[in-house]
Amino acid sequence: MAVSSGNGRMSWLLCNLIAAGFLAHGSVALAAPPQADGNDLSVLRRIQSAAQKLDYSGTYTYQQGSFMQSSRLTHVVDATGEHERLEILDGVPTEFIRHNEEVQCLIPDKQLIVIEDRPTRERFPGVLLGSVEALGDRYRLSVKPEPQRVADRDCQAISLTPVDSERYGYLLCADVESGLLLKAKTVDANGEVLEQLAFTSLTVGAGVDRSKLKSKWSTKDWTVQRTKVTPIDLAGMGWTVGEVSGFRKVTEVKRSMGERADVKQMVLADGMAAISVFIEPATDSHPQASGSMSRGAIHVFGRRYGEYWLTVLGEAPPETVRKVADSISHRAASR
Amino acid sequence: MQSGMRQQQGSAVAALASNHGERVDLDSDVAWLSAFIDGEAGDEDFSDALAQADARADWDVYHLIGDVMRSPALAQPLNAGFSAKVAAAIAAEPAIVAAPRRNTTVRRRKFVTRYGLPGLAAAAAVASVTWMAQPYFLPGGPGRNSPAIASSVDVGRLPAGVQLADYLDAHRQYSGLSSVRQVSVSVGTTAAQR
Repeated sequence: MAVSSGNGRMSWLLCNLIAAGFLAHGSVALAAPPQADGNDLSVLRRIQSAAQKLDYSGTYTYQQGSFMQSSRLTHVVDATGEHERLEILDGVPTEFIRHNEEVQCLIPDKQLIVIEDRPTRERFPGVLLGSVEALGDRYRLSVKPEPQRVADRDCQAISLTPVDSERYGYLLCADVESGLLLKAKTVDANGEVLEQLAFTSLTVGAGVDRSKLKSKWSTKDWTVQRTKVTPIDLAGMGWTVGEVSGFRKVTEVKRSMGERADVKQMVLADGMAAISVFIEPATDSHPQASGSMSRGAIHVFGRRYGEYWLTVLGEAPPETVRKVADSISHRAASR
Repeated sequence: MQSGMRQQQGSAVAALASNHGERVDLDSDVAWLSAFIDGEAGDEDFSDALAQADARADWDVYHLIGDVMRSPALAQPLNAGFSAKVAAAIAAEPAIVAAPRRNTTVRRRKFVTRYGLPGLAAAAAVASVTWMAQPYFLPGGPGRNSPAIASSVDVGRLPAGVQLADYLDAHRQYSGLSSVRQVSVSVGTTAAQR
């Protein structure tokens, strides 16, 4: 189980990296064997594998501060791969329909389908992100012996305690029967819960109704848009982003964002959390001074760098986000 | 950007702010306000000016900017009809005889620096306020839940608006546990995601 899940992860990473034009990194990722380092990561790999390989359907709720949102998720695997439908149940009606690597976002209010061509499969109910090999160096993993109960199912409580103050901790609960993640809390150093999400109902396996994969809307005549995301080589463009605090580069792309066609993004991850760096030409509408803000586990820091505007954000303490922002430098491209 | 969706969802602030944005470089339109704040206009001038349709909107926007600059938590739109109710209440009060306010003092100058940001300066203030104040989560889509987002509608109309939601959308594609997927719809193009 653990091995196949590792392969699944690697092939995803490899796919991503090849697409990003980093064959060298891809081969490194393939060559690196899964390491436990005293931490048994197999429990996390089981969560990841279950999220990608099982059929399941349920409703989960996300909560952060006073904000709460429920979503209904259906995931089915067949000969053509993964199918997933996610319905946002609160606020503006939105659905995400995924088939393997392609995600369509349906927005009935605008009669619009947005196609995102580079999604990650690494999200709830999956947990792992980026370089798993280093995860054991960054978090102490412990599994509680006594089972807990979430969504009327027995689950195994797992805690990931950061070894330093540069990342948050996680309290997870994984379904004993299937391995699926049923509940996750992000906690800070004081044990305060920054955000959490949990299934409130879940069906796994044969009971999953395939018909739930189909959107409830007829999307005939809707406008279709594709987000433009292109792999780039930031180092080749003269940019250096420090891999500080154990956050390693996962991917780098150029994307359009609103009217701005040229926003470069690098994603760094430590196995659980991700930090994104955005680099774009500064404009009058960018703030003149550095700024920061936070909500839940997410911290944002923006600053001007020469004629560029840098935005760094991620699920990490503000000091870490700041550290990444301060590590960014640019030299005129040599080619 | 001023797609129906946001416009519709825009709160009072959005309406006021965009109103203001359209006249960003026409300082003369709000000259009366600056003049009053500077103590260079009489009460009568002020009352006349304020009676005009857009004038109260300008007045409210100036105060909103001042409020938000002091605390992002004050990025709340005025309750609809609030001014009217206050005006009615005041009209119902017995008249109080007081000396006309018509002097330029240091105190009034301070007032100007706090409230009276004319033209582009005001727009820039709104932009940075938005950056600082915009809530991270946009439940159910932009603009519907939080008044602070409404001011981003105005910012978004500038040539290259800074919208935090766009960055968050882009980040979400790669972030694991954060599951709130959202879509920000802007200017014909769209950044979607989870």
